[in-house]
Amino acid sequence: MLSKVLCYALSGIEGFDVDVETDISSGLTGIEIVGLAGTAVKESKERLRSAIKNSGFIYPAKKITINLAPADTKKDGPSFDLALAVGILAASEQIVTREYKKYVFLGELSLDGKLRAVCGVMPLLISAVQQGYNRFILPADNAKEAAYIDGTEVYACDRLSEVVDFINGNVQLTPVRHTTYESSLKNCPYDVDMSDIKGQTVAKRAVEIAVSGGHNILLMGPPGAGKTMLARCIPTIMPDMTFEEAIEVTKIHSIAGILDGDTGIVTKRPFRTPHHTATIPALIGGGAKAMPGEVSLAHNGVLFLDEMPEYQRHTLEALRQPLEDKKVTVSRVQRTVDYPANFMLVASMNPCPCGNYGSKTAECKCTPREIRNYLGKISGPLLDRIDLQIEVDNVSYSEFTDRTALETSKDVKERTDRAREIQRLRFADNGTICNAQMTNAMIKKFCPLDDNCERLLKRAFEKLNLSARATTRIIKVARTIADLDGQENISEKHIAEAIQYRSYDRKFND
Amino acid sequence: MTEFNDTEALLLLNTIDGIRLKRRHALLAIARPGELLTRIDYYREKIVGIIGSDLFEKLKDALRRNLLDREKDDLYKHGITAISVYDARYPENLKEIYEFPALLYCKGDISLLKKRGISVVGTRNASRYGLNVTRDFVTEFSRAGLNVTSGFARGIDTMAHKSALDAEGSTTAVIASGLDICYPAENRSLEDRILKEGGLFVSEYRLGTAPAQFNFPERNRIISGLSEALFVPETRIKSGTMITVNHAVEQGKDIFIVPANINQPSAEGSNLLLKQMQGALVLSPDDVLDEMGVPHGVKEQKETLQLNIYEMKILEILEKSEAHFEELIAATGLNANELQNVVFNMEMNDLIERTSGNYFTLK
Repeated sequence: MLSKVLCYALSGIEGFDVDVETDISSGLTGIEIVGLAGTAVKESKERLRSAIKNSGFIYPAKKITINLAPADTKKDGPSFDLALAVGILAASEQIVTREYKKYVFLGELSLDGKLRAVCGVMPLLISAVQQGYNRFILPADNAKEAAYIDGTEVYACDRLSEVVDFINGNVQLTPVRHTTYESSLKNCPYDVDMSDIKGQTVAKRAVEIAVSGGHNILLMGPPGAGKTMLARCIPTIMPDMTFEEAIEVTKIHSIAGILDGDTGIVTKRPFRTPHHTATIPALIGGGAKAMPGEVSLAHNGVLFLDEMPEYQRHTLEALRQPLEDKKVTVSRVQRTVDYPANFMLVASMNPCPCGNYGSKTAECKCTPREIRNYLGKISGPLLDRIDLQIEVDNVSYSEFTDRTALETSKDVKERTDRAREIQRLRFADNGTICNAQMTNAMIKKFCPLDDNCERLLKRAFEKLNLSARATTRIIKVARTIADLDGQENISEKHIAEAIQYRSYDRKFND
Repeated sequence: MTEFNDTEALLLLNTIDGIRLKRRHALLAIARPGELLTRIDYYREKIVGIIGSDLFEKLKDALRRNLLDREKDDLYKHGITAISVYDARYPENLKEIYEFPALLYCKGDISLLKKRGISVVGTRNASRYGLNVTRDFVTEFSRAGLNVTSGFARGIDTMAHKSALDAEGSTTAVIASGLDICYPAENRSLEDRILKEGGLFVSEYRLGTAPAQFNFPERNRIISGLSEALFVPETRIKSGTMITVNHAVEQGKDIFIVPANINQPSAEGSNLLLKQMQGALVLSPDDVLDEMGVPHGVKEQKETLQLNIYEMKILEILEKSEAHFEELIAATGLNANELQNVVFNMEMNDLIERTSGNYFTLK
């Protein structure tokens, strides 16, 4: 007997349909899987035998041939298990109806016949729906994730036997109820809040500006000054993700297998902190399967590089292209995949190897050469992509800050949301969404400076010894400050404030 | 027989590695160097008595091989003038010191050798305070027309050279290596700037001499010797600056020192010196200039600025001590962004200065 069962597989973040064809004939007992099946698929033979047996069915003692069509595309992962089992049971006529042809099957089998969750369900379902498939049978643990996709009829099962009973018409299942994104958005509190940070007024303000305009930011300060804490607060004041953004993020996280099964969708903006020993493939994406890297996992969120000069130089340089293009192309022998990588870069660093350069309280023991080598790890082109550079300082605030009421993330977020809205309207026809992404032409158009501003800029440059390439950065940041201020035009005070956020230039220029 | 003048003879003597300061001075005690080398065979016995016969042979060999032309070519290529102690251009100040340098290699404006001046030296790892003192004092010295001599090292020295040039004054750098070597290498742009803006480089070492450790204390006697006074903004206890101070004391120069924070490691030497010689204490550039008898104009009045209420409040606070941004926020009641604007304007008007870690001080 021959059977044909539908399954789905992923290539990057796009899915494609796979026909699982099973033929059972007389001959030497055994099972052969063909069609460029990877190791995990080949290994499923053993899982199939046990799972079928332990679910109360008979594993046919005949020659079983399984073909995964199209046969010229590489397939890997355990998500074919369920489809293979259904194929064998249908071919051996233990499934008695033709109902199984209506569904797409996804799921991994455990030896006792239970269904285990698989990675990448969200992108699989999205592709499948686009290609006209809308009925799915999935492991129960993947149900939450699948519930967000419109236009689907998803049945979640716990065991193989349940699947067979359902197809044979012995039990009735109700499809998984759809969840709306809005409902899940509500219950996702962050575990940090801006009001937890005492003092650091300058840094907080800079972070607010950075988030408003989508600017990358560099936090400089001695160890223990609270750079990481500040960075962690950044997602809490970023605008809520739209459903489309959430789906994009969830797709990537689903492929990487880091999706939280309880929520099924990523509602919080990602905050990724790769360790400084991270390799280029870990950061950018790669491996035999061309998996997404940290820059893609941080898509629509924050990529935080703690102690940036500790990263290997070539790893940092690899960030330049995704920072520019907002996506990465990962090419490997078997596949080439485009992953989105639109993240906000937040970096922190000590001012020198010992951390005390310019400190009030401790003496810096580093030689100028050491400091230069340390700073030299961050190249000019990379620094050029960081609009704000601020100093985070290590002081005890008890005296003068306990009095002031501290703003919560919610308060700050109201302002950043407003500034984002202004930008959205401004760039509606330009394909950009925030000030940081303005091109030179756009700067000319949207950031006209009056004579006073020009004069101020010129004077500040001479006085503070700023580098020429700081100009566009200062103007972009001034545009964002003006937006926060609700002003149509950039005025002197906006320029003046923007100049204050060039600490790196000022600190190391003399 | 070839005739040598004094400068030529000293250039030749410098090519012999074994003849350093002491032996050279002993040789010069025999006769003037030109005479000595022109009639080398006549003085043979006395010379051998000082440098031994091996070195004497080397010296004769150097004369025979006519090394002089090469030496002169090298000097010409680097734009260097060699000035011997017998030269009219040699500074009188320097002749009076113990073991004066017999030959000076000079690059730049050699008239500065005879210009009235003050030497400024200090620690390499200077504090913000030390650097500020250096800048403020040197600026006034330059305005009063003094040449500022220093050692081209990191920290205070570099600041002294820069500040003199910034104030459109002249400056002399005395270095411990050959003039073709820039040490420390990161000061290469400063070297160019000093030469371009009419400064002077001086060394007693032949071209190609590396900045060896033992050159520095020797060099320090020239720094103090070139000027009539020595100003020390900030120094550690164990340092080249202390050696320079000792030279200055021996040479009978005036020494001026500013007091510093007693907890500041980079200024421990300053405070120790002050304890020993309280007469050296100065509190302003005018103290130094008065002591040296240099006329100086009344300090130019800063343009009167109309201050607003916040600026006055900030000045009032900073007059007491430096303050952090947070303190200023608490005192003025302004928002972070408003205060950023106020302090930026004050900074632009030279009223205050932002130091690291978001602290502010009066300028």
